Amino acid sequence: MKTIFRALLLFGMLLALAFLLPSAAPLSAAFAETVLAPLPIDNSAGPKPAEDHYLADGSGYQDDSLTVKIEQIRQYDTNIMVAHIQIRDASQMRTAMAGSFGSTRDIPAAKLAERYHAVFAMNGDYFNFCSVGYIVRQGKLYRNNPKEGSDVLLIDDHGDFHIVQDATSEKIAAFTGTVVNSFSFGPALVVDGVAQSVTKNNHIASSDATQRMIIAQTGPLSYLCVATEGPENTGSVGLTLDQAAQLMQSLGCENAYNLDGGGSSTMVMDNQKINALSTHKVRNIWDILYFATLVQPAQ
Amino acid sequence: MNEPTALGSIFGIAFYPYGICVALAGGIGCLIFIRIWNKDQNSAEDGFLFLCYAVVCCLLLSRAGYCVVQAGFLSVDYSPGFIWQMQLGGYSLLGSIVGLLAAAWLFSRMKRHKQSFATLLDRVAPAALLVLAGERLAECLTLEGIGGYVDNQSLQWFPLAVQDCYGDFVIPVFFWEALAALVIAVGLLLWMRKGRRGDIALTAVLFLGLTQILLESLREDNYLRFGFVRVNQLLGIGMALFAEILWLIRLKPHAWPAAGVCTVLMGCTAFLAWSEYALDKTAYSNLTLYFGMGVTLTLLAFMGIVLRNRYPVVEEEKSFAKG
Repeated sequence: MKTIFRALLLFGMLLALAFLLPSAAPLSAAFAETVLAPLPIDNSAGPKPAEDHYLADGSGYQDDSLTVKIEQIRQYDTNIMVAHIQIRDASQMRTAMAGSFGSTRDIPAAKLAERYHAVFAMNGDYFNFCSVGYIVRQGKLYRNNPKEGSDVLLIDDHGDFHIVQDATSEKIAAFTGTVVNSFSFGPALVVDGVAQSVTKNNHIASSDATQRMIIAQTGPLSYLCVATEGPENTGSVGLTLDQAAQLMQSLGCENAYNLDGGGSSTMVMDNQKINALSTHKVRNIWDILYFATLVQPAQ
Repeated sequence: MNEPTALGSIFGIAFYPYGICVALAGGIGCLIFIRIWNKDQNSAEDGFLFLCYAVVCCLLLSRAGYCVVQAGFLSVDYSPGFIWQMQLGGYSLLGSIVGLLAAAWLFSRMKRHKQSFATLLDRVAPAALLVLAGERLAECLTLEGIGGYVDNQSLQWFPLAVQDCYGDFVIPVFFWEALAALVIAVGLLLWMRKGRRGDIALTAVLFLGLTQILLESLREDNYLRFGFVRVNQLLGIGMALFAEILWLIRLKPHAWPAAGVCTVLMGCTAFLAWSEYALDKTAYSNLTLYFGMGVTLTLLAFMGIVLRNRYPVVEEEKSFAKG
């Protein structure tokens, strides 16, 4: 009787091992849940990123809320910088302006990024340059005057991209989500995974091979920022808009949208411009799209 | 920029430190104008009347100039009724210069005042420049008229740099513009008795225009523009060319010298336009380009002075010069 009891006890203990030994290493649930509150949808800066979260040799950034991986590729005889970005909350994708709405204050993107504690930033659409466009920044509508025949990028409160082609105020009003940020430059390069044929002649230098700046979504809270060099950079030709569309489709984008390129093309990480460095001049710009961490400095 | 803070309000209309400083500068300008006027006319009555014309015309046309330049944005970005709501701000140097010209023209058309257009402008030019200097200095209160960032620590001292509201050091273009206007005004006041009719005003036009071309290029905030072109730079080159061509026409030169001067003027203008383009679009060092602009502007200034001084003084104008 005693033997049977001991055998059953051993069996039970062995059975228990199945539950007690999921892995030699502790599971993620073993760690206390870090409280990473979303950022407010306003013009405030994000938390200041810790320097030790930047990866060595400028290849990216990693913390519990944000991953940035910088990759250099070469296509169309052009050096292309691709930033893979994964965020934890949609509020981490933010925009900032160089001055109050209506002013013409231009400043280097790196300075603006530093001011807003951006981990990674890229130039926007320079919307203060002209009076057209549908402009929402950080949840505030500044202008509802879409340019006829243009494409508008809407970014909603889930961080998802919605491209309104041949935008009108009516088409934009039909969008039922909550727009947090919008861009009015374009054109759309990839829509729902399909590369667009850019034949319209009302886009800036559509058939010229030049520097391009592109923002794209690849999945939920997952984005690509792409900066191509141009003919002013040694060893690069630049991309036409058609080539840019093909490139973005090949990178697996669901939606991709062209932003202000040429001399304005600026990518910033750790408060330094990182793209097209063979161009020694840095053009001042008006607005940036940036990614902020949720991790507070003290944590 | 700093959003200005109102000091208080009267009848629901707020007043600001910037406005008070501009009003003070305007007061000093008026005193200087009246002093100049009194020396020539013995009675300040008409002088005060002209100043009333000038203040109203400058204010209204400065506002109108701003609205014209920003016309494309008015119905889209500005509050309804912005044009009339002058307390919301928005003025232009271009408009105020046109306003001053309009006031002088209107006043000179009234026969009872017996004032020529050129004489009026000669008398008002130094005072107007002093007002401009005061207005530019007052921009330190709103931190407008600032240039690029000065990241080199050894250069982070006034007047090369001032701190903006974020603690960053920026070029205080507003101060340099004030200094330029002040130096031109003082020069004109010292030279007041040596000129010929219209020359004082034209000299002010020449030097203000030339300094605007360079200084406006340094500005990075709240400058007005038509597309890519900065309005005050267009105004500057227009003013400088106007003065030089007027002096050239007055000389009635032979065809070849005239063609030579025109060629130099066109060459300088083309170089200045190219330099401004090259600052953004080419790999040339900005320091080199600004040096080139400086040399070209000096050449234009030198040529303007030579053209002005080659004209012989006639007896009637000698008497004007003596007052």
